[in-house]
Amino acid sequence: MKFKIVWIWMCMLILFPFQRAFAQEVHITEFESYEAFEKLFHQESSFYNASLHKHKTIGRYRINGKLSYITIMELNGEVVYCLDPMINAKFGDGYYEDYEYLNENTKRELWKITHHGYGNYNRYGEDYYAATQVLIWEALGYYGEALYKDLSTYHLEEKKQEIVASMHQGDQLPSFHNQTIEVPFNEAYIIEDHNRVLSSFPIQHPNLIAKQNQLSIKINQLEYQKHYQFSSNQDQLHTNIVYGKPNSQAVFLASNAKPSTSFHFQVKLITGDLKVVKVDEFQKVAKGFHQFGIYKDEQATELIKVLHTNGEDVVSLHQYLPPGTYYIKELQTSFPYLINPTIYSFEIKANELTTIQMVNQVVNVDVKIVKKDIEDQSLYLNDTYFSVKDVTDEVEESMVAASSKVLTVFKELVVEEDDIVYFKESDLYRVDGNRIIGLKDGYFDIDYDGYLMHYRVDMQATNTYTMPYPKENPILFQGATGNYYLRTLDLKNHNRPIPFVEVSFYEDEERTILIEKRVSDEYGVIKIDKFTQDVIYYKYLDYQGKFQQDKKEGYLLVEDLKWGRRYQICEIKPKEGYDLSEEVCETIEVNDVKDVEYVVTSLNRKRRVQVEIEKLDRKYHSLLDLARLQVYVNDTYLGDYYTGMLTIHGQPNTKYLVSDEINFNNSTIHTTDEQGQIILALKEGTYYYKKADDSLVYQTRVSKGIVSLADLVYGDKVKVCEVKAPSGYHLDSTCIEQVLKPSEQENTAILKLYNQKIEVDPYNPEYPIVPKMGV
Amino acid sequence: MTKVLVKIGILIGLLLGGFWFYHQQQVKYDMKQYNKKIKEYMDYDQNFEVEKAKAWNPDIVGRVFIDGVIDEVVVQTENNIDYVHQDLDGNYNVYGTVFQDYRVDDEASNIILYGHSSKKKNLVFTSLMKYVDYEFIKAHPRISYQDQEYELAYVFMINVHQEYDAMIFETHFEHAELFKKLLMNLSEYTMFDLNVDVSSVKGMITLVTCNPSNDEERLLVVGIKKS
Repeated sequence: MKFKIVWIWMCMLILFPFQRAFAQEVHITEFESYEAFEKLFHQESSFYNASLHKHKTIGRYRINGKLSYITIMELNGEVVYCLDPMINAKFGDGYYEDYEYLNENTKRELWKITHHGYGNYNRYGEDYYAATQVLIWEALGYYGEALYKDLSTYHLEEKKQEIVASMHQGDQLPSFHNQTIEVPFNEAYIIEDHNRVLSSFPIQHPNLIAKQNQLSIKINQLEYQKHYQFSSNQDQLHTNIVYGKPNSQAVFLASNAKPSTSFHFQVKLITGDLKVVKVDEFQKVAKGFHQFGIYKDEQATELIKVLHTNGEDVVSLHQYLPPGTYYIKELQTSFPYLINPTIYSFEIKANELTTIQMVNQVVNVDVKIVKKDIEDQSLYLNDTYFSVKDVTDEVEESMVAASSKVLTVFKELVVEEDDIVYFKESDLYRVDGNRIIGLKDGYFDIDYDGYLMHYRVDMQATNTYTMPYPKENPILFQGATGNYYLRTLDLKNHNRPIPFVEVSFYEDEERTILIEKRVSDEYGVIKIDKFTQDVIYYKYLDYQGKFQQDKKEGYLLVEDLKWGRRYQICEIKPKEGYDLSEEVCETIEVNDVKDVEYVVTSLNRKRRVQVEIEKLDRKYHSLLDLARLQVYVNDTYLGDYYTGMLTIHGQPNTKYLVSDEINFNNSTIHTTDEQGQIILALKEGTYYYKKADDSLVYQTRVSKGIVSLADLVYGDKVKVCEVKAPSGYHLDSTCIEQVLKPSEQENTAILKLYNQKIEVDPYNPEYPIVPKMGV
Repeated sequence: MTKVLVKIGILIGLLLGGFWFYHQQQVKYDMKQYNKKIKEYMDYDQNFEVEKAKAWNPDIVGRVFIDGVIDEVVVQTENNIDYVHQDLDGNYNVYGTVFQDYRVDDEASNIILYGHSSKKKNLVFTSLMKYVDYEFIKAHPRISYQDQEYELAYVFMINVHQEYDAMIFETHFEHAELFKKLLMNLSEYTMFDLNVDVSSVKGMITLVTCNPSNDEERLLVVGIKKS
């Protein structure tokens, strides 16, 4: 304390004249009283005992005509400077860590001046002190004239330049500061610091070796440090203290105030990108969780990296693998895919993307097709044949049902017979969900005798496109709203349709990818409602002849179908004696449950057989009406029938509708008699009948000398007995039997019964006779 | 001796000739008497009451009449042969008598009458051959029999030794539709389409006679009775 008081008094005696001169401009703030500054330094206890113990006036300085002194001062052995010229230290004080009214740039500038100025780098002497003090004042905005005892000795400007040069050198960073350096894997890569300041920075890192102005980088791990930052070793210097605030005795410790200089750079391995795409065996995206291992060796033992998709079909590895050969193997997959055990090799090239397509087999699904009798579903049927076709990529016709609201009339196009017209498919229409969007404005091509013609379709116009070549038989191609089609018409012959004109449909404008060729039908029509923009993918699994049949249960097991696919199962040949199912083809989506076996139940109805019983003259084989026949089916009496008549058997007093049209237009109503039969004399033809309150329709035929029985079943045994002969004929009491098994081509079984004609015998009253009445 | 034999031959010839002449005169007389008797019955009552006629011959069942064509008494026995060559007096007569099919009764749908015809003589049904002419049909369209009127509907020819539809000789039908079927078939056989509406037909009469030009053929003239 005693020393401190002495220091304060000495400083007051030295600076008293200046203090008097500028008394009006000096503002003593928080340190007006000793108690105030002592209170402050009470908080900064580590500096509390600081005292100004040395000062030496070495020169004068004039700013705005007023003089100040340049005095070498020390506080606790550290050099201090006056921040404001012509302001004398009034009394002793301690250190102050911050100097609040200076901004950061100024503080840093002051630090650099004091760091490179007096006391460091062997810069000692009054001239260095004076140069440092002047630089501080100039940094604070006090520009003036330094007045020294002996300017030739002091070399003030020279010292200032030296200090400034030292400061600038301290600001320089290595030339690769803030750069990204691409380096090969596991090789030393050397870069040079063209600013030659690298040695100022202590560099210690396993991947880096600094030697003078060269830096060697070597990365030998794929997981490596990419960002590097180093600070100057001058950061450790904190020796300067700058003396404080105007008319106060605050001092701040500049060297602790700011960080040192640093530089940074990034290291990046030279790598390529990898993209793994998962597809299924049908080249469709295979979404799901798929995990892969990337290996160094062909045996897949040295794992480099594990990748996995997350519900998607693609996973990428970006800027990870250096150029070279690698191996990849699937480690895990998800339903419905089977893991692919194949180890694939791939090549990574620098800054290039390598794409690998890895294929998954889809799990197999068995489809069990069960065949039953529709009328007796406990009866299983064998010997039925099916085709199974993968139609996943086919567009169902029902899905593209035409809608008049979205279809537009196709423009007329006139070409010549035998010309092939190539339509670019996308110009025709596009399929959007379950709609067909009609022709868009656009272009289509016609290849006419080697001339490629381009036409523009303007849907708002009513253009007719005519080939500019006169020929004998031009054809009009036109379309229509609704059911989309092309139609070929002979313009020279009253627009009559021309059948069998071949039209080729291509997917691409170059007409290299043929979708298919179609030939117009007998009406000159080519339906085009099937095409899509996608390439039609078609796969046919020929299961015919491979069926496993179990006679006991009557099912077909179609094995190795694929989960997620859509299959069309078509019955192509029913069991003998049965009709094809009403739904000949059934499409199944094998993806609604995670099952390994699907069961498709298909029902068949026994073949209905038409039986025609012909009553014939034994001699002339002419057909005879009005024979009365008793008919038995499987030994059950069916009823009596008259040849040449329509006979219906049913319950008594039951109403039936009879018509010669299947929709029962112009039908007549008849009621069965007490025997439950209806007998009708009708013109020859095909007739339909049904109960008035039922929808089941029977078909029969009325023809001379014939009894037509409808709706008998294949395999039934039919017995026919004559109970009344046709007029003029002997009764043939011999019954005939037949099991109904007509061929598939002929669905009608014919039974023939013959009668012997009665010879004229006027004396035999048993038979009617025609007497000879001529004379 | 020779002369004696000649004289005897001439005598026998005269006797035979006299007998033949006598027989012819007798036949003429009988026919005259027969026709007279018929005429008496016919003229006795224009309506020809069968019951009264039965006093003469109980086989008489009616009288068939087509104005300007035929007007004959009809008999019926238990067969179709008795009156082929027999008159109403029960005498042999090569021309016979018009007779009704023995099966015909009150329930019969088809009344069949048989009668002779000839190229040379105007026998009972000879005049029916005129119905092969459409104009004749239009001029003589009605048949009267047993108080019923029939409208002439079908005319056709059959050959009894070849294929023909014997249903036309059915008299009874188990079902009305079977009778309708017969009518529909007749529409195919008839020589002239007379636009018959078969749905309204309740019965028919069939007059059968031979074709004088061909013994194997029969001419059938059918009249229908409507409701």
